[in-house]
Amino acid sequence: MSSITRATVSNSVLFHEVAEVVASGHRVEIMGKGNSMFPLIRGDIDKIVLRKTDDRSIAKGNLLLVKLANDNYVLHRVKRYDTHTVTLQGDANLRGVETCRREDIIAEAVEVIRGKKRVTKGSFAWKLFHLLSQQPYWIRRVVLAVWRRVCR
Amino acid sequence: MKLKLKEGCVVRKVGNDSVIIPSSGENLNMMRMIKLNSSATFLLEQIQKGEFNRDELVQLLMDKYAIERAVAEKDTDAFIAKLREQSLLEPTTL
Repeated sequence: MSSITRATVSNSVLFHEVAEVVASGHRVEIMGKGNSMFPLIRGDIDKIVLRKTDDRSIAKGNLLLVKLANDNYVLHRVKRYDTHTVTLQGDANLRGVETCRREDIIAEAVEVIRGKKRVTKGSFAWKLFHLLSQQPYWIRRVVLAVWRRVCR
Repeated sequence: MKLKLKEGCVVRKVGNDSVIIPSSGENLNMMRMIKLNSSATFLLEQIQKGEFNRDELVQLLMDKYAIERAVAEKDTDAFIAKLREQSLLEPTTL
């Protein structure tokens, strides 16, 4: 009996597939999970477009999908980098950061689909969210708190 | 009429099974990934060749799995219906 079903796969299988497909040159769409990239990405609401990384992907402020040493996957913003490692932080994470090796980078996010609107890398809105992520701790804390209340 | 998989879709092997990743404009939509078992994978491989119509697929399935025509027809029809439901067949083949 032939069977064709909507694939329900674990995160590890999904991201393995994402890595393979992106590496072959395709752009892919995935659903945002969690709220660590709020307000740019709202978990289970906004979609993220990923593409293969290039020479300019590892740069401060870019959004990278990476595999961490504990086998978890995160899509966060580059905070700093050196020749071997990249340190990332979620826009809504006021303190915590993650570090990975350069070879653990899977893809770069280049667009966020928020309903009918698209926030594309390089656009005014994209730069605005980046600007917010660069603000001092207390400014981000206030802005995020207000934004969350408004979005409730 | 020959059946053909919609252009832009990507088919990938996962063990003995396969997944189809539908295209969504210029992107592949990982959220609409479709999983196929081995017999559905066999049918899909034939459809990818773009050389077979429904009746030929039924015959291929009978030959491959040594099953009766009625079973093969039911299986093939269900498979094609699922592909159509997910908009994975070229419109010209509908």
